[in-house]
Amino acid sequence: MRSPVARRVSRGGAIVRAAASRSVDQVEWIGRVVRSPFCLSPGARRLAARTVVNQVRFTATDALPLIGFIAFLVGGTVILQAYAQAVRLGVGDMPVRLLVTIIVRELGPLITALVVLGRSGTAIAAEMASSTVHGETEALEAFGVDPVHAFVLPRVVGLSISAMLLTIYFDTLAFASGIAAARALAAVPLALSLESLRLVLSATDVVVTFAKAAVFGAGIALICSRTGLTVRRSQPTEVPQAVTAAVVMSMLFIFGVSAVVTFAVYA
Amino acid sequence: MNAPAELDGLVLAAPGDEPVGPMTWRMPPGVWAVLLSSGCAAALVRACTGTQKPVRGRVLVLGIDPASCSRAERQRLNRRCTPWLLPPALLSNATIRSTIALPMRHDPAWRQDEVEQRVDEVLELCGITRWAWRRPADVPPPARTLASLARALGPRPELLVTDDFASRMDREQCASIVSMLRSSVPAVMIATAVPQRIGAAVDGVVDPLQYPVPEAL
Repeated sequence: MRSPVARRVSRGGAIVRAAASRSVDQVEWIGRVVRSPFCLSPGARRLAARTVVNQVRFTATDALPLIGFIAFLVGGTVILQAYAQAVRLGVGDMPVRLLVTIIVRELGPLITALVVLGRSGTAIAAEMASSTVHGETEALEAFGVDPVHAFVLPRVVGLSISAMLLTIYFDTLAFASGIAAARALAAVPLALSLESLRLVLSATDVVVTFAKAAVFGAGIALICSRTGLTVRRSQPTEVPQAVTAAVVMSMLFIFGVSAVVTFAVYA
Repeated sequence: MNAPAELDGLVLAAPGDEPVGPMTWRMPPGVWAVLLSSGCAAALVRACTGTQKPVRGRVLVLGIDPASCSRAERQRLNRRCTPWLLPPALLSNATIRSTIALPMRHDPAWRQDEVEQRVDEVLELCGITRWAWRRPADVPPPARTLASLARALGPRPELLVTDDFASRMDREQCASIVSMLRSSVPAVMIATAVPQRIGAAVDGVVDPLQYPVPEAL
């Protein structure tokens, strides 16, 4: 009979062991995805390229109206809020500076990633989970095809490219909307807005923003694919659970990475 | 010469049931077809392709144990030994043609023009050319079963492992399938619970496993 202390220690050890094993699995999984472009046959590479194009079409092209609408609202709202403060503090170019700081550095990649997660991440998780439940993933393995090569890699590349393209689109529209709002509210000349933009926006901002968008896209695809592929065969009730888990984990990833990058680069 | 397939004290987990086995058996080299009377056909097919680990014992396919080899070795083995899966588990978001072509496209040994040609051949062989550009959901179940067979024949395997197709077909259909397999594959391991339906059509060794108790041939 073990003492309560020994039982607690044993339980704690089991939890740590399980967490470590999961971490090793995740690292092994990411390693497989990273290695996979170098293992593809020419035929598989062509197939993957076609899937990437389709993924970009579904994730980026089809999301343009939604992203455009959100960007328009966000750009206008930021300027509206900033203008009220600027008038109070007597700082003329503050709204445009704020627009750059908030939109480019934070909101652009963040909102784009959330839209990509909501539209495509959930679809990927559901598709992978349903493929696994119906034995399609297992069938691929039985024919010597790695599901990472056939399913995951094209989605990681596709979402990464899509998130970057959508972030460019979001930022451009949000700026346009913000500058239009500034002009309407405070009669700020267009030339002055563009000049402020040029002075405030640095190359670091642009690089960090697009790198962040690419990481968000790849991370969403990785998390959603992984979660979808880990459901059990012939267990359809696990499909919605997998989608929910994928969304929660992806959101934690997006906000976590965003905070870490902001702290590391701008703090 | 390696036996195409060899079971060595193999115990398999059957879903929702007691483990099946132990099974010890050797498929003689050079025979065309072997019938196994087994209540665990699906589990046996999975064990042969390395997608299910045995509870105990091992299975050797073309001299290799799929449960203990590396992922890369297993991929190479799965290109030499293909399964006829039932239910077919075809890719739901791809056409029948793409699904059949996929394993060959991922195999560096196949050129693109060879893949296209081979896919046309197996589609015609299985009589499902008219369904080639449809997705599985738009295809009747018998054609899906044949599409699964076409996918297994595509890579020109050295050994074809079949799930229990005989229990889904009558004697005439079984005879026609066996005749098609005879012209296409060097060795076939047929796991079936109703060997009497195809026994007459096979001129290879008919070798029922002693576990579980086979039906009368």
